[in-house]
Amino acid sequence: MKTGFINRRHVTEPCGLDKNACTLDFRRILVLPTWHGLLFFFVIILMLIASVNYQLNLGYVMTFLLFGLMLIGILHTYRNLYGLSLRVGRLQPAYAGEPCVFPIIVSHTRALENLSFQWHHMDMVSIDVKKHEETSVAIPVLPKRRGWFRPGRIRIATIYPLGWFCAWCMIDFDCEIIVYPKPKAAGPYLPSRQTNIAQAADYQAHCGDDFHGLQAYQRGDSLRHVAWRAYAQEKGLYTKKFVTHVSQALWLDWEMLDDNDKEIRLGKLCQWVNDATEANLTFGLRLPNQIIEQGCGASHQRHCLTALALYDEPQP
Amino acid sequence: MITSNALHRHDDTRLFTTTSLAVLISLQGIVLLPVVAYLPLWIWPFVCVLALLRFMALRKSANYAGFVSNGLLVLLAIMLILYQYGLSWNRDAGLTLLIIAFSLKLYEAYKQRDVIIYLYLSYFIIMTHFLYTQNIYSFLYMVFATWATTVVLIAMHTLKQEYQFIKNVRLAATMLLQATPFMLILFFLFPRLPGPLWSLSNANLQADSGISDTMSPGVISKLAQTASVAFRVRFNDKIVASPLRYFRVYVFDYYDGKTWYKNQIVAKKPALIKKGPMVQYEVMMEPHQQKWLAALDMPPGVSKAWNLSNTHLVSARKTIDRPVRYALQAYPRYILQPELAQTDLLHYLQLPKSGDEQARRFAEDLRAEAGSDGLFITQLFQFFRQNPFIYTLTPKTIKGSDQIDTFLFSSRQGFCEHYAGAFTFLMRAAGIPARVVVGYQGGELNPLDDYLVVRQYDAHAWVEVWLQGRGWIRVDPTAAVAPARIELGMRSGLSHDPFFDRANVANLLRGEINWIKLARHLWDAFDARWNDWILGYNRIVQKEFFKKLGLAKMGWTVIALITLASCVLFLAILCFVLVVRRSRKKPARLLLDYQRFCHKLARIGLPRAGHEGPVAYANRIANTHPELALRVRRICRYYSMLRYGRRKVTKKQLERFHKIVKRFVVDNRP
Repeated sequence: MKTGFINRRHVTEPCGLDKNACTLDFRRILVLPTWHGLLFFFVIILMLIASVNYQLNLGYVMTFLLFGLMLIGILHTYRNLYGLSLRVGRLQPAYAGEPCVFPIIVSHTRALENLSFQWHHMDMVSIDVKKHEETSVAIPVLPKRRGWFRPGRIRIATIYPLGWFCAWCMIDFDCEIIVYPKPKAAGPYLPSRQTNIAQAADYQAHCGDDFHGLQAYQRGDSLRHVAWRAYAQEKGLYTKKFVTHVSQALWLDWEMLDDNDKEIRLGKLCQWVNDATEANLTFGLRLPNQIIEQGCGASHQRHCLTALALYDEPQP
Repeated sequence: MITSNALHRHDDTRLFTTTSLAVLISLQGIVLLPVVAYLPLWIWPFVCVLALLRFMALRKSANYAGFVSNGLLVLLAIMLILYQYGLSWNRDAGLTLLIIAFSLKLYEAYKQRDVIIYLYLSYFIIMTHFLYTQNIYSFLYMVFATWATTVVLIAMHTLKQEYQFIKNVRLAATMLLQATPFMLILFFLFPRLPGPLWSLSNANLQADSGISDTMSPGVISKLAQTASVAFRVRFNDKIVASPLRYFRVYVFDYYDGKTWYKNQIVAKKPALIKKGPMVQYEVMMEPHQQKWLAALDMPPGVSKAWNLSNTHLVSARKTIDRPVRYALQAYPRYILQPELAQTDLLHYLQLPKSGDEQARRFAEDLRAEAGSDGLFITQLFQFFRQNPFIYTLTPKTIKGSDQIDTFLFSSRQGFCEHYAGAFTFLMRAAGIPARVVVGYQGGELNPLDDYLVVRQYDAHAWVEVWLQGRGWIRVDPTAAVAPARIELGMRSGLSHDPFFDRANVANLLRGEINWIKLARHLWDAFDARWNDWILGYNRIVQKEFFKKLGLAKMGWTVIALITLASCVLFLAILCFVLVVRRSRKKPARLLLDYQRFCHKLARIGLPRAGHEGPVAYANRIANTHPELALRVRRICRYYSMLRYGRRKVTKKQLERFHKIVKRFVVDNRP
């Protein structure tokens, strides 16, 4: 994306009451002619020369009509962007080096056609905005590093209806996406389990095979484990708990790896976490600065990956 | 600006749908429609074949139009052009080349960029039609064709695969209407530069001529079957009566037995003695690709811009290829050339060496019997009246020699040119100098705008006879045979004439119904104004216009600034109307209140996540805190309706929302 003089001036923090939402107005939208517009202007000049040469009054009429159409085109193209309301959608975590989706939700009181959204050099997404409806735009972005990723500038542009002018605007949303480290295949599939009786004893099993009892529903609990019958009988919302009596606990440990580069270690740990979750195993994560206790399930996976992502990262 | 190219790189598979190709081909048909009238006939088959090939190749892959086939087509086109025009480079050749390039462009178009260039070409070609005609019909056609091209251009920039025909049509019409004020401002204020900057030879000009420069039987009667306007006359004071409305165009004085020619090697300028009042009038002449200017009997003299010939004909210096306006004077009562030099006398007595012996003897006998020139003319008129002469547009064709004899004594059917020619012959045979004059006679008054319309069917031929002491006198043999034609004009008069062959001109007598007549008058009045204001708007008219507006004294820079300022003003008005007014933001107060509501919930540990919409937020709260569900849902739903709803938020609604939020209180959880 061009980051020249004009663009830089227009990078603005979204202002207003919502930090993650804004509406496009006079201060943000720029209009410039496109190459097609310049070509058409050249055609108009040719027509003017022909009219002057042959003294064609109707030729003048047509030339000036097309010129007027060009001027009107500026307005209509500008209008296609003006007043667009944007806000950030639900952000999903991503993996470093892989394209992920940055969702934006747009709406307007008019119908808009052929708006395109683009982040740096990634693919452009073009949508139509329907009147009074919220449309979700999935803009592909590419986070390079793990940690907090701020997508930064998004370019919103349109050339509708005539293609002679391009109205565009750069929006910088104040939001972050958490980016997990890129999973790297480690040598052994998973480290062998360690025997740790003490930990096994006060092991609060949340996952496993045997039904252990009911517990009050907490945010993050898988809906698959909810005791629906009890809820239907209006006894409240409870989660079924299962236990696997294991003698050994699986620990994914920083010290187990011997790579010098911490990024590689983090990558391998990430791969292990994913594999363990896929196999529905219970595991814990040990990092130099924190220990995550045994657990399993999607939320535990998220917790571990977040810890890996933010390992040794400065706070945003 | 670089990345805007990416916006143009649309999904090119769109070009492969049948609908879009059909649309592009019909656009081509619309744009090339007028070409049929004035370019060689082989263009249309060529274009159609290309379109057909393109259609058939629809199913094939992208760049099917290979280098070889393209090259062959271009070669074929060049050969056809060379065959048609040779190596001369003129307007028609240039235009043919352009049209072939245009159709080839569609043939080899497989990317969006090609189609866009094709559309720009079509705009240009629409304009080139004005090189041939510039009347109202061509203007209406231009508007329609521009509109069609704009519709397709808009469709090129929309995302949807289907052509949203009605929406694009309406948008294109709206945009063109909005562009019209700019067009008017620039049209009237843009300086008319003196052209041409270069010239292109106009070899194959469309023969829009009226009267030609020779006269033979059948020429004028052919002309009389067309109703196109020749010119319009506006009289400054009273309108001259129909029997006096003779507009002279050409004088023919050399007869070779079949055709009358112009051979005016007259010695010196004749003298004109004016008798009676002067008539002042203005003529708005339609283009006829020649140099004559119609002048009412008899113009005293003309300004330096025009020529007055020795036969008292007015002509321009350049060919009349666009509507022109001129003012003249006339003296309906005059004496022209009371003295005739000997050489001129012999010149106007010229007759072919042999032929038409019966007519010559008849003339000599009648002259001798009559005794004087005046009586001779009267006797001749009697001869025409008393014998069964017929005045018809389609007389039997007379071939061979002795055409005058055949006309006078056997066939006795003719139009004005027959009578005029025969009459002049008889005059000359009797020793009276005479000449044929061709021009227009009569015309129809348009009551709506108070001017005279003279059409091609008013073309007429009559005779001028020279009498000693009285100079050249106008004598119209048609007045003897079909006087109603002179009195009342071709349209109304001829139907009453017993000599007149009705069947022939039945098609000209249309419009007797009043409202059709009125419509015709209305349209012609509009056409006249069109000629004046739009087509006739040249440097001189622009200067007058500026004088009227008071801009004459200012220099061109000031006028340019005025143009710029008015354009900017219009643009600003339209901007306000289109952009600002329609995109009313929701009032900030609404957002503030909602924010307050969210803060209240945040205080008890239920903050709104950045991405959550109001309804989603309410649902989340309802899940975890069912006791708040009802109230929270109500507020959020109301907010959603106000924020994203169609109607404008009223003050009352704002107040209500404010109150609800204020009253919303959450007890701290135990």
